[in-house]
Amino acid sequence: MARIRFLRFCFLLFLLAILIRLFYWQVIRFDDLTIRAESQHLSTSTLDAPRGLILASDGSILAANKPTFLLFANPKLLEDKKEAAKKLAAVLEKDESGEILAKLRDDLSWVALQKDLDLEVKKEIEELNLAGVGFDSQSRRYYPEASSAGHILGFVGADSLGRQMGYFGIEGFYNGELKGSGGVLAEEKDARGLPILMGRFLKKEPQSGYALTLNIDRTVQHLVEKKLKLGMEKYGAKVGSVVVMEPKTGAILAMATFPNYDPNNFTEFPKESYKNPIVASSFEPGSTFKVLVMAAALNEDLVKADTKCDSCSGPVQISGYSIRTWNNKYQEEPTMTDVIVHSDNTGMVFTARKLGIDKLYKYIEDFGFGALTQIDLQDESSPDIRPKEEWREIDLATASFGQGVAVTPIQMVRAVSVIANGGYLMEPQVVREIKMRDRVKRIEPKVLSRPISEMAAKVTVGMMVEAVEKGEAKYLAPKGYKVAGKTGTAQIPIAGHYDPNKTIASFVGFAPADDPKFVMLVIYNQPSSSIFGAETAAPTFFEIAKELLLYYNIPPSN
Amino acid sequence: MACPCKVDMKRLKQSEEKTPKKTLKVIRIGVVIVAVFLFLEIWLVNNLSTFGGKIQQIKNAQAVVKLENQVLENRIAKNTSLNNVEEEAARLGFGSAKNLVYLKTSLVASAR
Repeated sequence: MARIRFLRFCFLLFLLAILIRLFYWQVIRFDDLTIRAESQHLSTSTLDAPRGLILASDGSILAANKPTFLLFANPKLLEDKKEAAKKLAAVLEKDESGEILAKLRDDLSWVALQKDLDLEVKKEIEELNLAGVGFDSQSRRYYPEASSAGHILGFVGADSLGRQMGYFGIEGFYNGELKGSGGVLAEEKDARGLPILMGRFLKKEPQSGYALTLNIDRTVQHLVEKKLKLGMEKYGAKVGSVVVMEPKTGAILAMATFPNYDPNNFTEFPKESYKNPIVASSFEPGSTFKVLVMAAALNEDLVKADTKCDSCSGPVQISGYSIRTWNNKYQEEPTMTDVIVHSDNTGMVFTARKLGIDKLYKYIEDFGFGALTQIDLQDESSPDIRPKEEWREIDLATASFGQGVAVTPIQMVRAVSVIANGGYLMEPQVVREIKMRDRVKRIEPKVLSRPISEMAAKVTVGMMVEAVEKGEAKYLAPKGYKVAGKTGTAQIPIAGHYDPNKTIASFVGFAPADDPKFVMLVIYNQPSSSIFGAETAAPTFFEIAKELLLYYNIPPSN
Repeated sequence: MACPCKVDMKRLKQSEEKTPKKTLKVIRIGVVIVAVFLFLEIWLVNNLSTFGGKIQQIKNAQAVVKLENQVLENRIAKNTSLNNVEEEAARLGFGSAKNLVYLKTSLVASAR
């Protein structure tokens, strides 16, 4: 009996030990083991959101997404590394397989061999049936028009955490709208990694980025780039820029600069080329600025088109400086129209003196200079206008013909569009609409202010038409059309003085003058064939303008 | 006096003989039904366990088709780019218009 009791006691002790152990695993270690079990059969993956498309005004694609693949290998699973490296090198078009072989070291379980592979290359590698080789899906931004509109679009790179991020242009400004938001998929999988139908399934759908439709007209953009490129070769300029804007709405129809870069391969270009000079570089506008000063004086009713200048028969002396005309030729009592037609600096000094520093400064600000235009491109900057308190009479005089005042090309073209559209300062806009998930948001034209009256604008237009018909560029104007324009040749300030041999040659204008469809500014920085705007920027302007008048089906008025 | 609670033993024996047969029949039918459901469940669960593979195949096929669509869209975009169109147009002998005449109503003669 005693032995039976002892045996019974041992069994009970053993049972107690089992119960204690079960309690330990099922109660005390419950949370930890549950997590480990879930991690084994619950698979969680992130679902990348496709970046939104960027479309031209006709719906054609300017920026899309290209599926690419990262080729990786598990060296431990590769039987014949030399053979595998040789086969891969052949497909990847490498001269030697040594580079690939060096990566396939025995001590690694995962090694990246090549990134940004196309789908066709991936299929070729899959046909090799190499064990231990796999692919990670990636996505890369693709610009089918290559370098066309590169400065407008910007590019997509990686941020400090390796996530896709837009830089410069539209990609940078609208990065938040374009990037979308990623999703998550959590599902139970069996031992083979296949999903269990009746298992747990949690999915958060990725939200694609919004698609943007631009005001950019693909045909106009292509035409502008073609003509600008030809002009760069012909006139030997360091930098050339053209911007075309619709004056009534502020819509940017085209914008081009050379040298430019291809956003598909932005890393192969110098970083200096990423900046869009049209919104981020400043220049002294020279004689193109005269039309704005004249419009201001007309608006103040200080002068009329036929007001005569009684101090324009020779150079004007101010504070020890001598203000001369560009060709040192002077007229006896030229009218204000003559002053614009012949680009008479002395006549502009006469006009500016009537305005005075206070009024001229106010109109410079009213025309949008010294402040950002708020164009929807990343990296816009604006040069400051020297404080009014620091202005002297000589500054008033030089500002009247566009020297001593720094502007950006987008500020300049927008200011001239005020004259073209009857007096309204518009916000320049590149994007026309944003296609969201459930609606389309249209970006409406925005009137910021009205610096001048319709009458002042109309009179200024008349002067600019005469400047084209009777000025240095009269032989270039298209027959039968009324084109309003003004040439500009501004000396470049270098180390405290102006270099007479280095200029910024420009031409700004719009057509048809009575109902303008477009305003355009052409700038050549340091053209070598000629320093004058009439001989470089003006011909390019009229070549583009002729094509635009044809493209927009605008018949000649005469 | 005979007890009124006395049961007819003969009838009781007969009923006792009938009851086991009925019960057995019910039990047999029950077992068959349970067995059928058991096999049905095993068959369904087995099918479900392999469905994951089919679903994964469909997902993979869908992903491949989506990728190919994207590649084709990009190819269309590249082929219709204006640089490409201009080259093709030149190759096909197209050129820009040289002499243009805009027709005004005064220049057009018509007869009814």
